[in-house]
Amino acid sequence: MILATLLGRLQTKLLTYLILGVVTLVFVWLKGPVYLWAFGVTMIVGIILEAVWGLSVVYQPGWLTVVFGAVEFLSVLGITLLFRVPMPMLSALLYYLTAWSIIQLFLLYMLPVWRMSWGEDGAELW
Amino acid sequence: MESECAFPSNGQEIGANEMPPGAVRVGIVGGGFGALMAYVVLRFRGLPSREIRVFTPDVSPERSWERFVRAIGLDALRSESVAHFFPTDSPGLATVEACKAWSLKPILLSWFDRYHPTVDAFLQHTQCLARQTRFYHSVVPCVVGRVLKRDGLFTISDDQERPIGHARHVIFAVGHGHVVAPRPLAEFRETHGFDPRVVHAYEEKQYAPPRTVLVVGDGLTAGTEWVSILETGGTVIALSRTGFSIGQPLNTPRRYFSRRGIAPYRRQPEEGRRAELQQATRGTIPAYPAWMRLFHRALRKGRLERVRGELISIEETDMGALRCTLRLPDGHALRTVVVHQVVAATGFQPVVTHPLLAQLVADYHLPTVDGILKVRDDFCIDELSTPTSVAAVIGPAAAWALPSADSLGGMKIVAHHIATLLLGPESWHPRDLFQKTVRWATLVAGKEIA
Repeated sequence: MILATLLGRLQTKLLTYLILGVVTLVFVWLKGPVYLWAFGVTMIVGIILEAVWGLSVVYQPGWLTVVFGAVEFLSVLGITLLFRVPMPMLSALLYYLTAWSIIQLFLLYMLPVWRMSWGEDGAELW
Repeated sequence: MESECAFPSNGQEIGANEMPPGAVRVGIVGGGFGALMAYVVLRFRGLPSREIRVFTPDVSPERSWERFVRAIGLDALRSESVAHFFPTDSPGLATVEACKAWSLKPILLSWFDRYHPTVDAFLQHTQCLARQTRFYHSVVPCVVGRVLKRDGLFTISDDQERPIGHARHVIFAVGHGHVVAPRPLAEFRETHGFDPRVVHAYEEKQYAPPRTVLVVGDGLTAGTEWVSILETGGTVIALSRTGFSIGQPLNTPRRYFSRRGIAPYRRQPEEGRRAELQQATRGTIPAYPAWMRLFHRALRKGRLERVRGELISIEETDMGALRCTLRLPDGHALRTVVVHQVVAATGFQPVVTHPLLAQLVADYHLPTVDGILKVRDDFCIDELSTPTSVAAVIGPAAAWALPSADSLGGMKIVAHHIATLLLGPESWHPRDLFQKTVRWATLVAGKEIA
């Protein structure tokens, strides 16, 4: 049960980019540098959408997290198509799903342990 | 949350090196849920069990709560997945149950805020956490009559004024005041003695065979009584002084579990805070789908009537029924209803009516508002706290600083904050993260933490 502040959303999003970065490095190592583009687009789209959610949503139940994830993926996909990033849709889906799942597990299970007051602080980290 | 205390932030327990012999670092006065929550969080943050004493007449933290919920027939909590005694928000009880049952259902339910742990599962969890953190080893069985501060140290005395312990810091976790019984109920008892037809919700009662029951009150307890009566085929006349609010999922609105709602509440002047607190803590009934179906059906069939007003008398009729006189909201009009049973689901007295807090208020002239202790926003009692020795409150007594303080989630917020005051802020140092991860894994695995 998280009622994040706008600042909390942005700070937490920035922290998750560390995980996204590690996932991207693994994909780059396995499949090639095209995933660096996906990383960049995901970062930019992610922080913009997070600001939008922060201004428009007070309480985010679990189901809405899944909806937001889908919206973010579709936005990333749209932009990669627009800029003709040479990445098949299946690869993009695999990359995004992997990163999103790991990040969600981290936010659900690990971050509240490392930062016990994360939830009550409105997801603000510093 | 913002701290108003100028405490050291180096991770060292304040005043740890100046402890006189025989004293412990933390004394927790009270042994219910607030005490357990504070204890578990302090233990998780690294305080050894030998440094904490819990002064309570009852070694079992869940006993009085269990008595209440069994009396009203509650089988699942109003709280959701994160309402538990793990010191962290994770894992939720939905995850625990999903792992035990090898089923995704609890997790999917929690995504839609529809997961409510059963009372039995919650009690089992409570007992496990108490055992895993060695709570029972720290209990000093006694009735605390007085707590006094002398020379930067708290002296805890029993009800005969005999000192039973000394502590550098003290956490008051005394729970609620006494149960509220409406005046007519008390008067009826004075003339008729104990009568199972006129009871408080927390007393034993039966609704079979089906009968007409006047339920006084408008919170979760009242709602649970409506359900019990309607399910046995009875009829409910529900009475509330302020009206009924149905639909709020949790005891207090969700915003009071996050800085997003807490910070604006605290920024208000005293009058605004007082009004908001009254509104935030009023009785509400959750809109569980099964309950709503039952209520709508009963309303249609005339088996549920909601009346706004006040109970002013209960009399026995010649036929052995009870004639109840109600004063309606205009303050003058009266209405009489004849019922077979009266149940008062009217909650608890203000927290400062608790004998120990009342004594503390008298000893130190502590300020109160509407029976609520005016604690600082860091949950400390200003008159008793110094930078090296803190008196803090947890549970309903902390409501002035946190409207959700009476709930499990609220108690966890308070416990986190008190732990930060006593043990320093959390750090991002890899060693600390590793230690927390190990302790968390130990608790989740059901093992005892060191």
